[in-house]
Amino acid sequence: MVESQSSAALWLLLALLAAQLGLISLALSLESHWEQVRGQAALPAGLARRLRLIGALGLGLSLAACLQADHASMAVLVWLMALAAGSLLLAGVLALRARLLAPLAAALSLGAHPGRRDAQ
Amino acid sequence: MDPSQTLALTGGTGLPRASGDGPTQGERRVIHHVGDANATVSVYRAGTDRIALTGQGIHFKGPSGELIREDEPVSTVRGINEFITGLHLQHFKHWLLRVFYFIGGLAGCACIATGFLFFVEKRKRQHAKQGRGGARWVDALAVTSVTGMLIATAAMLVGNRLLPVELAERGLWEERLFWSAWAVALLHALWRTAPVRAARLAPAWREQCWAVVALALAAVLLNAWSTGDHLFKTLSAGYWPVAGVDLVLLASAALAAVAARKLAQRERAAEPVVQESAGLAEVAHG
Repeated sequence: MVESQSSAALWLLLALLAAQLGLISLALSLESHWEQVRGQAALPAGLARRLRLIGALGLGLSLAACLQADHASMAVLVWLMALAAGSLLLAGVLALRARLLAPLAAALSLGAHPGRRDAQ
Repeated sequence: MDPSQTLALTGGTGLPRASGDGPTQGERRVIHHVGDANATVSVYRAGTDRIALTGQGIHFKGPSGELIREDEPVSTVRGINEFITGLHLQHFKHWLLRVFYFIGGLAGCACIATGFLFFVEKRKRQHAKQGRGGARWVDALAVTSVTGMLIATAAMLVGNRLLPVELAERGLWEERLFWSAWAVALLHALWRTAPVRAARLAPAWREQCWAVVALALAAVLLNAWSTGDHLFKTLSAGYWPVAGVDLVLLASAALAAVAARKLAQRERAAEPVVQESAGLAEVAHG
């Protein structure tokens, strides 16, 4: 029982991390949030697609991890609440300390083709 | 021996479930007509491992342990009903989900409070110009529902420690205390939001924040004094239900104190501008 509980806790931790990473990646795929975090660095279309893909994978992985931890009827609620709590945290960070996400944004855009910034 | 017999004889666990979807975290057993030849044993899922309030009973004859019947799987509509009921009653046992419900509750409160603030701030200058009192009444209701609710709750906790134990209908008195404290907060809010009519900040917010500080600290101190369960003891013993309430009360008191000080600063900052050149300040703030 104790063993299964601690493995459930690990799955839930993974679910939280995956959901948060997915939400951050999805937010960064939007021009306005990207600018908040990266300033003048351009967001080429290819990178935006990659960020959306990573975001979707993160949210999917999060749901899968929730399903590993709990019965499906429980897991769906835990997942939705994880998304809600994660969005709340992300919204706060973007509003108050957007630059904290800069290293993560840089890591997510590693090797991406540097696109030209559109003329203002 | 047939597994169902084992159950009836030993009252044991590990019986095959109706839905066959794995072991449960707990079960509820009901025995009818104990000691009678017609005794029956019913075993229900405790349901702490899922949201839906589901019984999924399985029924046996008492003396022989013979399976009488299993409850039918519920229909889709019934299943959705059980799920939504379970969502509200929160009988499930899930630490992360409890944390999420707490966060969700706080976020819901923030939604209501900020909604009130936006409503008032958006209209109070316009209403002041038109000489209407609408923004002032809404601000009074906002004070009553935000800080007034905290005052009423803390007052009930204080009453819980101060009312004599032998008092008849003690619970009812705690309830009355809650409603009276809330009513007093409403009256105070109606009185001390008058400056909103002149598009200024209502002192009711700051004053009720200080009342929250005083009552929350009083509740913590009175609990330590009357039960002896002070924080040093409850924290070192891991007595979380009591330690948690004390910690949240202290956190609320600290937040209320910070809010009260910020409000005082804002009131002071606004005061001279309004007195010296009211017209200009109105234009500058738009």
